[in-house]
Amino acid sequence: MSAPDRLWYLYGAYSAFWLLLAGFMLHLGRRHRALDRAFRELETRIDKRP
Amino acid sequence: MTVRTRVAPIAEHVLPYAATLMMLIALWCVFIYAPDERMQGPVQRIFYFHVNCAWAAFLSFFVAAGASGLFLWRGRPAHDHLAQAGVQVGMLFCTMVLVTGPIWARPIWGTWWTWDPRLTMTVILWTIFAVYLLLRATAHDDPEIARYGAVLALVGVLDIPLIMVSVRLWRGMHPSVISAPEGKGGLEDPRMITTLLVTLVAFLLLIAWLLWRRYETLRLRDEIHTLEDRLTEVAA
Repeated sequence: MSAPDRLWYLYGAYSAFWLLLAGFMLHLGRRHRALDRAFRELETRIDKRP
Repeated sequence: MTVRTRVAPIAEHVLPYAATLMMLIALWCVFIYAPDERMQGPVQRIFYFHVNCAWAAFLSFFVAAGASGLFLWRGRPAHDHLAQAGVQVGMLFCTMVLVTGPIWARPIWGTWWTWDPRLTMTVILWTIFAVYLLLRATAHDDPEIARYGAVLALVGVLDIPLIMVSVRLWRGMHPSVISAPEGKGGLEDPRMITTLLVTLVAFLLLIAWLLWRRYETLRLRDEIHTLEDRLTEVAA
């Protein structure tokens, strides 16, 4: 296998790393936004209390 | 002042920037500073991230096991949150190991996968902690399931020493790159060792940040649930 061919594997491995990390960060971000929404709902419920 | 409130400013305002900066330096080291390995050529550069992903996974699983032990002993939710965060971050890095490894193996071994002892033990480790995540996802509020999960994390982590010694114990195909015999590859250039160490620091900062983020999300989720329950009780 020639050196330029092997470079594709190198780029493939690093791309996979960054894609997985980005996926995990997006997952964390989504959870965080869901918590934000829940927190705001809770605030509204407290404000509505007599 | 609790440990959490002391750590929070550093974790939120220093860690993400430090991790990003170190990652950029690590990438420069991997692609520009480190020389090509004699036998493998440029594809050997996968090693710097692949090995650090493995170490990051092991460290995260050890954190999870330690926190699980503390949770079984003291029963504090904070330890359970740290255990869950450790398993999730560990699974991320363990998946990265299982993805980047075959990409390296294809041009070097001529195959994407072989049932080498180290590879097999790593798949077992991944499976054990995948079961942990499934268990917690299906019944995350059940205290008994939380205790089962803690026991599973403590058992699962016992696989890590086996992965470490598997190359020497069962003489598999997987290289023991750091301590390879002279003239048979390995880290023969000091620049390679420097690159590995710089990458290690970048990964340590990244793990610390991810663990903190996940721990905080789990802690906040629990606090919100507690407040919702109290509000419902008061309203009733």
